[in-house]
Amino acid sequence: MESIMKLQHVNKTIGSHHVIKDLSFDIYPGEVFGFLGPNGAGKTTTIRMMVGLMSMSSGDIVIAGHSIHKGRNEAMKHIGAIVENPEMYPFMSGWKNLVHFARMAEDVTTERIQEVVKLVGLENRINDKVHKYSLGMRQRLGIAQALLHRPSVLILDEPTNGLDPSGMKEIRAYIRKLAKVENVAVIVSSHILSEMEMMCDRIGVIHNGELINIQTVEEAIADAEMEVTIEATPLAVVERVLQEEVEHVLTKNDTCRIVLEKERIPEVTTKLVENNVNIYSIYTQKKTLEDQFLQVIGDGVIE
Amino acid sequence: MVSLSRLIQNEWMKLFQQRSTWIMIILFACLIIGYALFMTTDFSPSNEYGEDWKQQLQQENEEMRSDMEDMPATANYMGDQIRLNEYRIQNNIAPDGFSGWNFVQENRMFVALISLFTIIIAAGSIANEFRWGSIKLLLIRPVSRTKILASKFITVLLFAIMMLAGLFLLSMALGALMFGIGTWTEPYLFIQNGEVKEMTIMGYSLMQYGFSSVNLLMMVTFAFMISAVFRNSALAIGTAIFLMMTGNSIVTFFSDKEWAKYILFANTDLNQFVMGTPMIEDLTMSFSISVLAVYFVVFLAASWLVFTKRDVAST
Repeated sequence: MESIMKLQHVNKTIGSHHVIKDLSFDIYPGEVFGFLGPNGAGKTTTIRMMVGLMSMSSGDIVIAGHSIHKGRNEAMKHIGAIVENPEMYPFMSGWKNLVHFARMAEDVTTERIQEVVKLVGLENRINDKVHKYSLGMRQRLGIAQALLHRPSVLILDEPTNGLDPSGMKEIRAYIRKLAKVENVAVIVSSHILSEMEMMCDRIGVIHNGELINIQTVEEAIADAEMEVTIEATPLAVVERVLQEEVEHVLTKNDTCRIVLEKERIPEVTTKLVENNVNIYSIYTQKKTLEDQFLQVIGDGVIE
Repeated sequence: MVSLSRLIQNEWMKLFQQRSTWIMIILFACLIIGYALFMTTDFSPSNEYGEDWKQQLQQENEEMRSDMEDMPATANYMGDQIRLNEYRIQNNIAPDGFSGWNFVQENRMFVALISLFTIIIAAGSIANEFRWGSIKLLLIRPVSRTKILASKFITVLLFAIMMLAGLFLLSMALGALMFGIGTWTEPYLFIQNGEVKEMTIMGYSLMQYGFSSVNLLMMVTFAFMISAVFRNSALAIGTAIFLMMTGNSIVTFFSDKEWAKYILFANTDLNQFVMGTPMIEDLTMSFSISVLAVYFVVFLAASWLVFTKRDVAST
């Protein structure tokens, strides 16, 4: 499949800080891509470069075939975005705000604005001034302004921030629908992993400005390492055998706990049997994405 | 292509959706009306000339001649007045006392207030987008930053033009209503290089408003630049108003320096070439206009460079 957005060796240096390091990845139509990383990892900086708010020190971003360097305006036609909070003009009504941004695009009719307002469920309050809106309503209005010109890439920075659980669920469902039905590529950034698992097809993990992992949510779950708890005697022998196989063995209350890939469980079990230990039970538990994420980013220290 | 006019339409909408804009306009109209009422009640012109105005003027001239001998310091001014009066007698142009036209001309002082209001608007036009955070939504459209900057500057100028036209028309309407405007072609006399010149009062008033707008344009452009470079409206308002008020003192302070004629404020008063003597001797109209043009271009270029090149980072 042809990608709709390509990041090619993107670097960004601010002062003496190399904040984004050689970022390269592709985004495809119809997918929800999760951009995951702790605060300060470079998510927002990357998003700002994608939408042209910040320049790149080197590299390029190509959107629907248009380089952001050479054809910025053409590239921007395909982008709808909320960067950080959806900050609209507080002294104007929601409707006037949408008219304002519609004028900055081509061919956005009044009917289209009405359609989008309906889509985000703001019909009843659209003529109120924005300073009277709740955070959730502002988020909806933000999504509405991003969708006006039917973009092929929708970029949402922390889209469920400030929403109540039902609002979150609605936005998630809506994002999935947009991707599947309209074939829009949606890029969602977040530092909350559980939310990503529910919403995304693929997740890229960024840490200290580097892309350290990119895989589909399915793969991530399949690849997950197992936490294996073995109850066997004599414990000393078990411990010794396991130490030959893995680095860390946690011994506690007559059991040993190790982390192991699923495929290696039979092999380790055989080893134990060969050493004449009495095995009472072996049980496994999948590590969650959250655990993996924490493992990948290490102690979470921002350099 | 998104046309510039649509962007200006947007800026105009944002301007007039803000309550502060309306407060300025209403305050301004009230001040002018209030001033007109004040003029009618307190300053009814006293020295009305009757049928025998020629004799009255002769008499005035004689008084002034004798005063000149007593107070040589006033000789210049008195001499000019005498020459004007003689011109009136020779060409049969009756002095008309205080008319609506004088009111229009006096209201030129309100141009300073328009400068102040327009400076406030120019100062906010970029800085506020950053303060509201809306800049992040404004600059991710398929529209170049240059075009957005242009739409903002043009909108500020349109506001100034609207206010100037409003001031002129409202002054004329009030002047006609309260003091009467005799004719449209009433002549206005003034002294240029020691000679009496004649102009229609309408043309003269328009010219004076035009000259007053030069300083307005320069200070507004300056505020716009500060707003674009520092993204801080308070700083832009503060520096622009400070310079507007101290401009003449700066020129006086440095007037003995060779480079004083390159100071912006030595050149903002183009009226000095038409109506009087320049602050610094070797200034000419064309020199001043060139200096003004250079400042104008520098202000706009600085705004453009910073606005189009600088990253919009976390606010």
